[in-house]
Amino acid sequence: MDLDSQMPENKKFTVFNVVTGIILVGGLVLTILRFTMGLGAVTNLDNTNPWGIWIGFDLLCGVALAAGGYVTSAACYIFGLKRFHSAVRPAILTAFLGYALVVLALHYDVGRPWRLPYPIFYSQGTSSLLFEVGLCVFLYLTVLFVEFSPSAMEWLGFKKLRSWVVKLTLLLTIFGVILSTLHQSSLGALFMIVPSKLHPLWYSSYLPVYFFISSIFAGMSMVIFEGSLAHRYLKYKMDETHLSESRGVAFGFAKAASWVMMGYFCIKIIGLSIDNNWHYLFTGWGLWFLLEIVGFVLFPAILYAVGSREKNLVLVRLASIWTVLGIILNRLNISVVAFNWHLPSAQRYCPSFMEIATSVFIVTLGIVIYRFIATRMPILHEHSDYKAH
Amino acid sequence: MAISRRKFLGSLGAAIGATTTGSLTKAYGAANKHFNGYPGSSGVLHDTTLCIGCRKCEQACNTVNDLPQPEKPFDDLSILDKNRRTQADAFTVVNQFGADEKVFVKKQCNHCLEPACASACFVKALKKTPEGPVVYDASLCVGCRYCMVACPFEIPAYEYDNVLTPKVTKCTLCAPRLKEGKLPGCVEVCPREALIFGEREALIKIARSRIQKHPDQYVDHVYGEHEMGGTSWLYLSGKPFETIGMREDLGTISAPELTSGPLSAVPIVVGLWPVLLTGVYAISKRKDKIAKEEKEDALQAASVQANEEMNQKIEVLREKMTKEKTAAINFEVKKALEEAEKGKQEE
Amino acid sequence: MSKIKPFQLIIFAIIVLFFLFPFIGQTTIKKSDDDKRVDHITIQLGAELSKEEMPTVGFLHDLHTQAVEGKCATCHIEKEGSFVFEFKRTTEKASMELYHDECIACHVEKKASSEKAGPLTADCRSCHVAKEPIESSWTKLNFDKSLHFVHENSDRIKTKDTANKDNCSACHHKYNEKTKEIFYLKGEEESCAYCHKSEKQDNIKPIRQASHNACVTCHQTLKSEKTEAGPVTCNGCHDKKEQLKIKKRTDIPRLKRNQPDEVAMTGWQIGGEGTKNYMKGVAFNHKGHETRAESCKVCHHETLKKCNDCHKTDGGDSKGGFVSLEQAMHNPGSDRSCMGCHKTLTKNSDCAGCHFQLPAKKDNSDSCQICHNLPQAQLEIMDSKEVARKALTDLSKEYNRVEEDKIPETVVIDVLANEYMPSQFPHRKMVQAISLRVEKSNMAKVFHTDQAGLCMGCHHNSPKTPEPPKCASCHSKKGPAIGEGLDDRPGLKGAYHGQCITCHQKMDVKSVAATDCIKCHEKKK
Repeated sequence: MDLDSQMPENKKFTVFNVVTGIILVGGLVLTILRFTMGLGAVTNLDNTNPWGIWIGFDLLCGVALAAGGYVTSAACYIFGLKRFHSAVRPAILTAFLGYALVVLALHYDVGRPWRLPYPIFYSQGTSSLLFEVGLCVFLYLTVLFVEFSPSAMEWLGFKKLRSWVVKLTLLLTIFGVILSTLHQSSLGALFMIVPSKLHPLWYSSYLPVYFFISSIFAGMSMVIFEGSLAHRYLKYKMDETHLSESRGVAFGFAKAASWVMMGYFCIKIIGLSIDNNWHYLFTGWGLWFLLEIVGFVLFPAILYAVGSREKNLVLVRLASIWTVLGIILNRLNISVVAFNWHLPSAQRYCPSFMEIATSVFIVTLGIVIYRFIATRMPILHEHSDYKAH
Repeated sequence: MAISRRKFLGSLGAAIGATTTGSLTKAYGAANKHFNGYPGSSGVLHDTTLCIGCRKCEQACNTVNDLPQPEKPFDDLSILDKNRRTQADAFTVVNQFGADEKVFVKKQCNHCLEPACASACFVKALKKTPEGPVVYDASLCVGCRYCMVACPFEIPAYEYDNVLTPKVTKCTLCAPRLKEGKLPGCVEVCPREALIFGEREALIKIARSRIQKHPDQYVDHVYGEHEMGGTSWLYLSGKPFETIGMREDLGTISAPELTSGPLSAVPIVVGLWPVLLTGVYAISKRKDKIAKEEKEDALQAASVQANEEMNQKIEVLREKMTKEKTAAINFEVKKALEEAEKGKQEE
Repeated sequence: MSKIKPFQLIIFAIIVLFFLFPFIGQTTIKKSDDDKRVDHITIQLGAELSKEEMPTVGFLHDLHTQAVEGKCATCHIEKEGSFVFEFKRTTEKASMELYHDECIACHVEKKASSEKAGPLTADCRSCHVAKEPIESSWTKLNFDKSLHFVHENSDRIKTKDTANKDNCSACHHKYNEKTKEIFYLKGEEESCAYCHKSEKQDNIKPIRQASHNACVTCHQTLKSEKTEAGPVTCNGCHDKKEQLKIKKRTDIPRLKRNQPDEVAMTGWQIGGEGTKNYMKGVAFNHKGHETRAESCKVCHHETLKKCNDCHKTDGGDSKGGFVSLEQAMHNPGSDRSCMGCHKTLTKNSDCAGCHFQLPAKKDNSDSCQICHNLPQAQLEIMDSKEVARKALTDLSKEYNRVEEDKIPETVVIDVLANEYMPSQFPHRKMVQAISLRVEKSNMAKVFHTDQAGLCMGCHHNSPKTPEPPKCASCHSKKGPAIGEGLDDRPGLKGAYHGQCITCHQKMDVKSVAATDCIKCHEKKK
């Protein structure tokens, strides 16, 4: 079967192309502004709020939502659930692009981006959890690159190199899970140093656990969500295996996510009771917190459970979007909303238009590159030369 | 719904790991260690009952550090009407509190004994020196601003408008001047000696003696003695510290102690995870293998049984056929004999 | 399990969130001062009367006084010419039934006549409010000499005492244990609070009941006779703003209670055994102190007896609260001891310039002799009051200012001149200004009879001499020395600025702001 014949007409000026093109050009302008006029000109950051949405969204949400890579490859290669095999490559690609873009976003946020290698190679601040994050992200990005490389190598025809790299899969997967556990939890632990600035409902000594566990179902939800997008827009690139396995992937992940989210909800309640923070629930902040854990964790968990039981794909996809929004809400709450909660509103942070535009630019970049790779390399299908894999 | 062994073991491992990661706040064995500062390290005692808000300290700091002149000159005291925080070009500020009885407080880096900023810095650009000051090395700083997030006193400022060489700025306790045997700029210039510089331990004793000599004039607390594990800049006040812009809810646990738990979990994960994950993989592989073997065994057993049944059927058929054959032969023999009998009779 | 449609789940979610919303309502609203009331009385019968204890009732008295148009008899029973300020009973204990029946009956009646009324039978929680009760702003009324004089002088107060023409017997009484009756005895009037304590003791009414019975009843009676009288509502006496409206009388004549003018105070029995080595007696100017005290109770806090009737030298008397005489006289932290009161007075802006900077506990054996100056020998010969009078008269003659030419006119302070010119210090002007302020107080004149002592206000920690040493003798130009075994001595710059600025601040010298550097020394060009 010739997949190429099913490809739509090669139009240059599709709506998608035009819109993303504008965003990318705008992003380029913003990049120039950022590096010629400095952070102060482009962001609303100040001395009291040194971290904004570039950290809160681009870094924290980006890393959490790119967790699908390690979750899917762990499910397939470590837990031996071969029926998820077709989901591995798209998940790894998402993760790789996600982490690469996180590093790109960091170049915008940090004052001297050319010094980003310093903490790893030059002067290691080992007392810092940010060092932990940096080191693990650096190593994990390398792992992801190697895990992704077979697809590129298949496309480029490096047969021998590719077969050698593929042998490393299990090792890389295990290493990837270790690194992911470390940096996902360390991102949460970043905020353990500021009990005086983070609202008690969100501050907990379990922050690392919360971040790690939520990254699991964040990744699963992204896999489901992206799978649904791919089905809609890149179906012509999918092969028989992929098409037949996709429902199983969605429902399997939905069931797993449902379990993990229920457990996460429970440990959130446990965290509340251990710190005896019940009285905070009866405040405005408490309502916001309840909205986050009931409306955006418990509720989609139920949707997932029902959807996977009833084999209702629509419900499952709805739940995945809901969960992704919940993760974004959680990360933004911790880094921006509930951070410096005690300060008067005049001293609080609100992102500038340019900051938001830069984040949009980076996400768009990711989508465009994903599409580029998925339409050329064997991500959604198996390369004909390697069917025996 | 039955859970598979594989899934169960996997989730058990994850649970153990999660609890280990989360529940540790003190990972070291002797958990009652407390760092009391380097012996002989210096500090400054700020007696806010003496401060008159003249801002000469701000001016001296500006001069000593070669900072740009501010919009309003330092002798313009109307700037005290609004409380300020430290800025990139203002390492220290004096703030005014109270309506009738005004209280003035100088605010700057407190040079904590276990600084949150130094703990947070992932390139060791901020260090606590044994002499007392917490110093900043601009040649290492990447500009991540985690130190600004971490500081509970909200002190470090950043040069957001500096494109190529942005620095984190804060009071340096005039570390270079101290090395020359001079006093910090602000301490030297203060006309009321509301700031005195000396060994931290001696300053604490002086602070306590002032409280004892004039119990009506001071709140019975030396701020900075224990806050956030102790700071080198100590404060005395006649009014409750909360009313003069100094938070009393920071606690006495130092910032590094807050993060030592999660940090200590890292080597545990590195040590345990490979074992757990490889174990899960091995178990799942083994399970697959056993499933395969069982399948083969079942197939074989099935085929053996099929063979036997076939043989039995053949036996039965053979017997039947033999019987039929014998019967047929008998019949033919009988017929032939009868034919023979008949023929004999005809002759 | 039947198929759950998506929209059903959404409804479920909405219901769950809806039930979470009441939590918002629990945010505490800060109560402003306007919400506070003076007349808030808590009615709580206690667990023994009801098993299921409802929240306490907050009764607003003035509200009800208004509602019954000032007719106390509506709720209070009259007995022997005065109201019993308990609700519809005299001596019986309160009960739930009493309150319910009587209160609600009235409310029902009011409601029936279409007037604004309180809660009815079924409105339990309207009275038994579980939420935060109304905060009380009840302030104790200070019945000081001024108020006392108003009553003493009033011609509207009628007494039953025909023997005496004054008003004393209208309020003051004593209690006869045997006959169980109250009676008036002239010359032995005392403060109400000496017997009537805050809680009921034995058979003695608590002060609240006693004062309401005496004061409010009288005011109410006068009001009913259309005569101008004091307040009858809670607000009138116990509201801070209303209290400030009470005109303070000046030039109040001395109370007529046969009190001494001068007293010789000793801790020992005059003419007694083994009294040789006790401290000398103290000549106490009782008349002088009377004018300055708000009321007798300031010093005579429990009874009008002598101090050493209850406070013994060995401190063993339970009547004196086991406070020894020495402590009773000298405890610097007390509000009723001699030294305690004097210490409080040093916070006055006329005194605080020097006294603020002196350490709290400073032992100076010289200052004892200022008060302890009555030789034992004299007391044993002459009448103690006479001895005291003579000593006090002599003391008041001793005060003399230092001769002007002995005080340097201007002192040039140039030892630290750097950014600023030397300071031209108007020394004589300062001393004279301080002397003027000292002379405002007779007590200060007694303590500062020795003018060299006054010099030590600034020239401290050095011998008493008319030519004290320079500040730089002890305060180092380099700055404070900090270290082992050293005291908290400021450097020269801190000493000058500290001494001068503190004095200006504490003595309210508004013309010299602390930050007005050039006022004291010009800037160098």
